Amino acid sequence: MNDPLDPQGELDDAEFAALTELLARPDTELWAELPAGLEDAVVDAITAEATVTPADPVPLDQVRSRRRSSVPWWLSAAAAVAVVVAGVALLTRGGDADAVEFSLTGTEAAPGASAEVVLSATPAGLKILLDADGLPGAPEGTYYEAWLNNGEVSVSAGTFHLRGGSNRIELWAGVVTPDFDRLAITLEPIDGDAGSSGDARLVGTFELRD
Amino acid sequence: MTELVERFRSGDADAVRDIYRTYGGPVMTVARSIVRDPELAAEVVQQTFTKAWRAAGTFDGGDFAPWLYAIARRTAIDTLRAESKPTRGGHAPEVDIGVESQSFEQTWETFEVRRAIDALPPDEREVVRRSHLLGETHQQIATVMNVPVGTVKSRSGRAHKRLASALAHLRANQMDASDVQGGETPR
Repeated sequence: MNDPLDPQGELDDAEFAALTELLARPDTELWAELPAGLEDAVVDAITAEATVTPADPVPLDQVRSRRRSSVPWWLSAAAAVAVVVAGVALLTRGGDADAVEFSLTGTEAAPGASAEVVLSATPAGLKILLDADGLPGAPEGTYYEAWLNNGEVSVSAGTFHLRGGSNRIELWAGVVTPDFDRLAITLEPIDGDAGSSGDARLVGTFELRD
Repeated sequence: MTELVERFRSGDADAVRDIYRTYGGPVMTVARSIVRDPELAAEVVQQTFTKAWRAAGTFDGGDFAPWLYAIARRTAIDTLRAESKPTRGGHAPEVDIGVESQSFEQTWETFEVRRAIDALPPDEREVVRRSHLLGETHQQIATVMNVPVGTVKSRSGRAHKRLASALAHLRANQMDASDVQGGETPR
């Protein structure tokens, strides 16, 4: 058996020929360089999505049905960093004794955006009043989706587009438990995929009381 | 590796970087071999790692490379098919052209060869790259790298032995195929 660390050792003719054959592949494939910035884009895309939607166990046969990343790799770096720095909880009590008010902060994909949120637990579910500022209408072919997250799973809290001029949105969610403490607004393509794109535009955290 | 995959699954940035630096090249090789276009291939690479992260909970702790390879190949084929769909402008469909041009085994071999190359120490990898990609002689490489020609020969020898060892499983398959065909590979 060859010692791979023996510099004096030589491959015999058959070994060398077999190795040469393995190396004789199209240069554009075997020696294809990774673009500068792609590593950061991959890291940022995953860490951003991990912040909004921690990975769930997904059967491998379902992986292909997941949506293609809506964040091009050359743009996702900017979108991601903001998710990390955003999300400052501003927990206060509003006029409604059972309501919780907090703010959402724009990510780098929507740096001028923000929103004030009022959560109210009702017998029907969690009522979410969103007053957005600086968030543009969703481009044609896309929409916004609100997500509540408890650090393990995300639950959709409804969709909207903001193309009609009003920035006040009423959303509803079916989860009203204290462990859900994050709210994110993502931009979603209309592609029939129910999962999150991970393309967060507004993020924030809050605390529901028992 | 299991601990690294666990950190990868949690979205740990350092773990994602480690995984990318180990497998980014091989995944790019698979992507380029299927979708051809460099920009589209880069998109495939990003999607592959994102999908792998989403599905990391299903990784059973075995060999990570073939698990990731399967995702990369599937992602590349899906991407190519999506790009080949007929346009709304009524252009002629280009459905599936080239999608199956390389078999699962062929792209797996390329993935493994690239992985072995990327695992070489940088100075040895550069000698192999210049020799195989650019067709340079040891003397030319010595001049470009500003080292004695003996150093180039030594690095080349070490590199090829490492590659031969790392790719022994593929060479065994080659020999099996050669036996079946009665073929012989000339040097």
